[in-house]
Amino acid sequence: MNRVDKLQENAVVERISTLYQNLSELKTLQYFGSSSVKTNRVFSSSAYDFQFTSVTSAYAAYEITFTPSDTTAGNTGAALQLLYKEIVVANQSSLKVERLVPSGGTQKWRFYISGSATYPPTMQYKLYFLTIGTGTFTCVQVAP
Amino acid sequence: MSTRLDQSLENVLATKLDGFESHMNELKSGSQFVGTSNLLFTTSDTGSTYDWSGLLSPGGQQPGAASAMFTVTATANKMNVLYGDLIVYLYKDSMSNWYRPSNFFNDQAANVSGSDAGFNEGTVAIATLNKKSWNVWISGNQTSTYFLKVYVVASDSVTIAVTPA
Repeated sequence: MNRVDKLQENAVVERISTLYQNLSELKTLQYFGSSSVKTNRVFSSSAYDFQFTSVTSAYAAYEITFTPSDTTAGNTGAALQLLYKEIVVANQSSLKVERLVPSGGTQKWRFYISGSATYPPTMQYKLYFLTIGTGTFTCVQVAP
Repeated sequence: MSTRLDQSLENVLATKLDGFESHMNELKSGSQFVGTSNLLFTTSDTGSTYDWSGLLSPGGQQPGAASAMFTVTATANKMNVLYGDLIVYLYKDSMSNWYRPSNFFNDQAANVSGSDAGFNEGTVAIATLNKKSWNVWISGNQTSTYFLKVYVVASDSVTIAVTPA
């Protein structure tokens, strides 16, 4: 084997080393931030997700919890925004929406609704989550 | 017949190729942190207990009513494009008194003028994709001290600026 042969072999090793390094870097966490981000809409098949009918106190509160499908890597599956459609069946009510600081991988909102006892409202709410990744959600009345 | 040098090179090549194939197999079968379902999100705040406190400025239709306006800007720390939402917490008279919509409706039921906080999306230059902005308002009375605390849920950790408008 002459010197030229050895140089060619070294070149092959060098090329494979570079490939190996590139591949190792690809395997680490990647920063993203382009138009390649895929967003989803998560919503139920129901006409509405919860309904407010009776006025028994100053307000009623409903807690909405979004849970990402994939939590293997921690806080994954961001619900970036909650949109809702408010359907007035009878008599308008007053609504305030509160988003809570995420905790334990889930994201929560509270809908506070107040209405007239004299003219009791019937209000229906349909929820849409704009998300990265998928997930499921629940609606639970927490007050009164 | 190969020399000792040839065998050494062959060993190096074999080792490199083994690693290369191993990585390729992992890339083909494992989950990768790119883009969609595996995207991490982050909750950021300024690190301060509250971002603004003080009396509101007189203004509004009711006697004694007052309000304040703020611009909140979030700038992504690493990413080129920021997706995110704002969370606003309002405290009244002290940081131990978190004033929530439930307090507002209870005040209204007691014929007391309620306090409130809210926001809408602000504008940033169309090419500035790594920033988001919100217009935040507080309404209440002229005598209470209010405390504002904001959080940003976003696709990256962010640096937050709260500026009275």
